[in-house]
Amino acid sequence: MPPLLEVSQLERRDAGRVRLAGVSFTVAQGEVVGLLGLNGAGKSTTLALIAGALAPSAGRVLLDGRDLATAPHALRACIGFLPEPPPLYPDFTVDEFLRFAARLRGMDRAAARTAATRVRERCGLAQVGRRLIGQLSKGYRQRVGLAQAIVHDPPLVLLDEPTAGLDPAQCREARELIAELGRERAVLFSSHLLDEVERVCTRVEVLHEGRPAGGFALRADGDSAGLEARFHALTGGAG
Amino acid sequence: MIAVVAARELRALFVSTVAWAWLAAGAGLVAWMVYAQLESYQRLAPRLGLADGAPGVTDLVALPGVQAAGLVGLLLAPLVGMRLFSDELRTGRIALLLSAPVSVTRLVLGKFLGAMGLFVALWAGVALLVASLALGTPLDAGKLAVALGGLLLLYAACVAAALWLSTMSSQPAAVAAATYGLLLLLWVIGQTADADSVLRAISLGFRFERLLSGVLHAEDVAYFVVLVATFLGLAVVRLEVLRAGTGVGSARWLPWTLALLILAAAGLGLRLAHRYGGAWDMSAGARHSLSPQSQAVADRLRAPLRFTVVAPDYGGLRAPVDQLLQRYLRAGLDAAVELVDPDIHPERARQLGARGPVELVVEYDGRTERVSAPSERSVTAALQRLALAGERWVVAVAGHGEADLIGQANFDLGELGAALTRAGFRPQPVEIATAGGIPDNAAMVVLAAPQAALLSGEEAALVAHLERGGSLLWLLSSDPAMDPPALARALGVQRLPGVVVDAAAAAVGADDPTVAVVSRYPDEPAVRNLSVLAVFPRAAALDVTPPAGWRGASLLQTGAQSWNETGPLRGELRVDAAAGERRGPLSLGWALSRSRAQAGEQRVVVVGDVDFLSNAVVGNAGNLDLGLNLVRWLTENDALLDIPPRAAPDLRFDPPRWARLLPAVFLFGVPVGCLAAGLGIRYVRRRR
Repeated sequence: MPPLLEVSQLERRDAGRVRLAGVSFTVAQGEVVGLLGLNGAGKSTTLALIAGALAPSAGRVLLDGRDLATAPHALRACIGFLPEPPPLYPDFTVDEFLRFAARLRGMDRAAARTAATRVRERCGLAQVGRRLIGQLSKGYRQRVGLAQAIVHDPPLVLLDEPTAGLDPAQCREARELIAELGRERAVLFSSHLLDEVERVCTRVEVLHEGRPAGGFALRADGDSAGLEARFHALTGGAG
Repeated sequence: MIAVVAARELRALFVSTVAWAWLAAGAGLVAWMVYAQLESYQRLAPRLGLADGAPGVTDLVALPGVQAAGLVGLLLAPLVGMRLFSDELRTGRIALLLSAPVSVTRLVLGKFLGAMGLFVALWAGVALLVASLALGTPLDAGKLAVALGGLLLLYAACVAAALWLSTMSSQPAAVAAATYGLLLLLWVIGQTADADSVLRAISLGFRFERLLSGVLHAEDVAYFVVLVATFLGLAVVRLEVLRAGTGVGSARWLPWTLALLILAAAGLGLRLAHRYGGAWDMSAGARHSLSPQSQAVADRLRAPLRFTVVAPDYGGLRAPVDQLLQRYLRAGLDAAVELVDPDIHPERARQLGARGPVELVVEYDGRTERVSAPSERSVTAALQRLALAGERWVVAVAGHGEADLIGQANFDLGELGAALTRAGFRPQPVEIATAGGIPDNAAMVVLAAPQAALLSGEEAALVAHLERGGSLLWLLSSDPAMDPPALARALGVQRLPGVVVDAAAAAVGADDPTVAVVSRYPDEPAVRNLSVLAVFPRAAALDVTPPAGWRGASLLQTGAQSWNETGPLRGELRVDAAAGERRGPLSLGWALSRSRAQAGEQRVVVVGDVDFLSNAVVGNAGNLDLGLNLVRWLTENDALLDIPPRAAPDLRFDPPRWARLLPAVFLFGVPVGCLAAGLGIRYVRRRR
């Protein structure tokens, strides 16, 4: 099966500096790939480039074999993206915001309403649908962010630090949700928490200072010590 | 997708208490302005009268309200617009928008239209407020519609400017400050600039105010469209740069090149609009355009014209003259306009012979006319004088106590003389004996009731003038002995004895029976267009037998209740046929004409009265009109007409009783309602 997402030689220059260069990897359907790296390694930039929020200076992003640069609108509709921090409108209620997010991804009014209701249940937001986002706790807000990323049922989900700011119980729920998403879709998420990556991911791509530092598959039984050692080896022992 | 983005923006505004508070403040401010203006208008209205171009409720109440609403927009736009993109940049939500399957152009348009929603609400309130004035007066709908359209365009331009600047910074306060700076600069930039300068062409204030003048310039509409398109285009470029990053090498200059191209396209658009844009006067009765009479005069001018306006650059002295001259330019007059500030160039102002604070000098074909109180009437009169080939002299026979065409005494004809001057003639008293005859360049000779008998030589000169084919207006004095007999013979004029008395005089309010009234005119060219009655004090009735070769027609007929009374004017008067008294209708005036040997027609008018044109009487009824029509016919200038004054249609303000509640609604109801809505929405949404 061809990979759903294929990234090749991705490069981003901004304000005269090279932020990211030579990043290549693939993510297949049913895979949960973790993007690992220290702060400033280029994880967020990579995700934003794949999502289309930023345009690459060089390299290509292929989704289902089609270049994101040639059919940006059709392909962006197939991507769910949770940036960090989550893009929320505090003056809106959860329902209003999810409906807006669905419509922004091209759904019509009725479909958006149904999708918002469905995703609200799925992300455990049923109780707070009519509350203002600004009044929600950090955990709920993160869930709203997650919900907006999958409201349009995209085959590829990009999550930037999805568990940032969550308490351990919420972290576990989020991990379960991500694992569940990974069963029928391709999920690429960034994190600097090794144990989280280890529990959820089938594969890992490591970035270091804007360059690819290697990638490897994780065994299903979980080998935390092995992951940590390899990560430190790839990032030159820092962190 | 534009609608989705716009709807979110609009929803964000209407769930925000602050936006409702802005709306309340804006609506309240405009309402206060309108009702304050209305109050002073109602005090002023009785004094405005029917002056030429008198402004009405639309001009003095509604338009200042629209102008105030424009300034409110100028103040609000930075506040509303500052968050449009800068908030998205600051919170990182921009990633959500840029990763959506929506083009940046649609994002920008959606945000723009959403923010416009608030301004459309404000605009609708203002429109409703000024339209409610129509309950009390027939507003000038066309003028008001142009102004309200201009207001919406101004709002769009302000919002677009704020939107663009909001893409430049993630700090809303910085965006607001920059937007204030930009808008104020654009507003005032053309204030002191010359008519043709680029600064005025790009000035927001100038364009907006011109749209309030009732004349719709395609150029002004194009300006606002170009301004909006430019700001939105720059915003799109900026967001694309954020997405693409500042590239390396030549790509680095791409956004700058694009921005320059947008500005160049904007400049080109403005230039084209200036070159090819039309202008339409939308005001009631097209009162900001030339009257047909002035247009006819303007059409007759062939060579290029030069207007020099001598007026200081303060106190709004220049603007009215400028607007007036614009009417002529819009009418297709080929003219250059020069402004001379007497404070800066006193020498030049002196050379031009300027005396008053505002003076207009018109140069045409080597000749010059001065107008010291420029109005359409005075400027058209000047153009008419210039248009007439050569000088048109009206020679008034003088030296025998005649009523004087430039005299100011009650019995003089100064008023008529002034009207003739306005119509392009030059009245000139001439003593025949001293001048050695009647000048043969006289368009017309006036013999107005000499108080002493003319010398035989003088009389002969008059007859010779007739024989040469000259025109004559002969107004008889009340003393039969003063009628020059040779002239009377030459024209076949005979005076009936006595003075005409008319019972109809009482009906028109004259307490003197010797005032004859003419209320209907025959279908003769000299009086054809007249419909107002004329009064003739102490007139003599005439019997005219046109000499061979002449065509004669009685122009002025009294009614059946008149006769020529020969007895003393005391007690009860009755017709005495034995004394030669005749029952009306009697003729008071005749027109005589015959073809000239050369081109045209020789024309003569004889009237058995001079007082009807005297300064004391000429203002009554239609006397002046009659006099001018007679002169026009005599000089074969039938086409020259006086310009009727044109006033606004909405001079009186008289609303129905229930409408007196409206000020309370607009001043308190609407603002309080807005505030209540804002607080209510906030309360409901926070409680859930």
